[in-house]
Amino acid sequence: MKWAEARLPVATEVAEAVAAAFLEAGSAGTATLPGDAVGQVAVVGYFPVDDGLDARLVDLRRRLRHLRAAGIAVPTSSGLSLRPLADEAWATAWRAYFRPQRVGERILVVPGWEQPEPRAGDVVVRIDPGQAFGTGSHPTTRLCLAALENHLRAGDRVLDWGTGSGILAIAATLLGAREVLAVDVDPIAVEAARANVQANDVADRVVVVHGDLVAVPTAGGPFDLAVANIVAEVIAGGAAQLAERVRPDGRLITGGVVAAPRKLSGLVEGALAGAGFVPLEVTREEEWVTTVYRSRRSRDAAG
Amino acid sequence: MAKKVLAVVKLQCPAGKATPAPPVGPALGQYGINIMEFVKSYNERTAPQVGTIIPVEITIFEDRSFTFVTKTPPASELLKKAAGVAKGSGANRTQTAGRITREQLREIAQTKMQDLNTSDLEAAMRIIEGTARSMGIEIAA
Repeated sequence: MKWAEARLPVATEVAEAVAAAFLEAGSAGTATLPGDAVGQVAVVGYFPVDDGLDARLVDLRRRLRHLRAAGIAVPTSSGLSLRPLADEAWATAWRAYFRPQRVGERILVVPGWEQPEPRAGDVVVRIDPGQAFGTGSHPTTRLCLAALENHLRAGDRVLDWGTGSGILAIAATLLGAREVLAVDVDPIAVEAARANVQANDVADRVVVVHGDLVAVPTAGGPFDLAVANIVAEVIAGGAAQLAERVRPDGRLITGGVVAAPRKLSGLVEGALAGAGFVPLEVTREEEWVTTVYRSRRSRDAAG
Repeated sequence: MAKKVLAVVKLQCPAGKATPAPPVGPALGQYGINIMEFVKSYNERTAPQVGTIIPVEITIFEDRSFTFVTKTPPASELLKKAAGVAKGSGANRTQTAGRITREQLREIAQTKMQDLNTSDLEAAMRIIEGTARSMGIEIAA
């Protein structure tokens, strides 16, 4: 079916009344999209292109006139623009925005439906981006992936706190982790992470748990490496719990922290220093900062 | 994650029965979010209200992830329900499609106030009344 898109820029407060006129005139649903100016939106309607199109548009213009006559500040229908919509496969058009992308030296993040052509030694992480965070397109995700590549050692037990789509947990496994425990407080993330873990065929090494850090048992041996790609306040608040879960001399990778305001990054640094983490390496992309820490609890415990 | 918001899009689609066809596909596809993921979640969440139009406000983030909240039914739907008519009159303003009381108008305005971005009940009533009149629904004095 061919569609025509009718668009009218209006003030935000009358958008609903205008959208109602579109619906009454036979639009298949409506969309209210960001406008060109503050306080403005564009009401968009979709009409099938057939013999009835002209009559529907006449009806729409009449309804807009009625709104104006009823005292609602609707622009005249001269502001109404009409354009044919290209025939597209709506369900999959969005996929054009996700391309395979290379992160670090050998990590290749690939949308689930793509057939990648990896180079020898590549680590291919397949991600179906749902509503959860982590498609590899965000700087902080890329920084954390690169840090994992540089600091994870084969056979490590890894904790991924705030796993989102599961991208870091999956990458850790493919980079050689023996076992990964991924946690997230968001049930949508847990569901997405589990699906991605399955799709990457690493379910035997990744366990996804719904909950906070306290859901992570301290028993079963501390972790060799933890990664926390969340936000400053949350990481700072969990510093002590992280310290209990990362083994002496183990590594911690933090992400989701912005360089400015300094107050926030300082908050993370201060809390982690207090918990016995020493910064080893700092990487930045745009305003995002990822830091690799070493837990020096061994020395504290010994001395 | 302090995610940057790319766009906020509001859609009106049939509860429980959204598809990737317009308005969903063209409106959301241009922002690169997973259409099927949205359709599935929206239909799940609105399944109990099948038969009505449930507006939904979708916040799309820079990394193309999104969240959404469903809103109260559009004023036009509430008006038609209150007046007991299936469709507003499009023919002309003098043709009456139905009638509601001022009290019903006030109730609808109260329901819709938050979604209309106003805390002023009188202003909300004026907008709803305008919508009603444009649809040929009279307000009984």
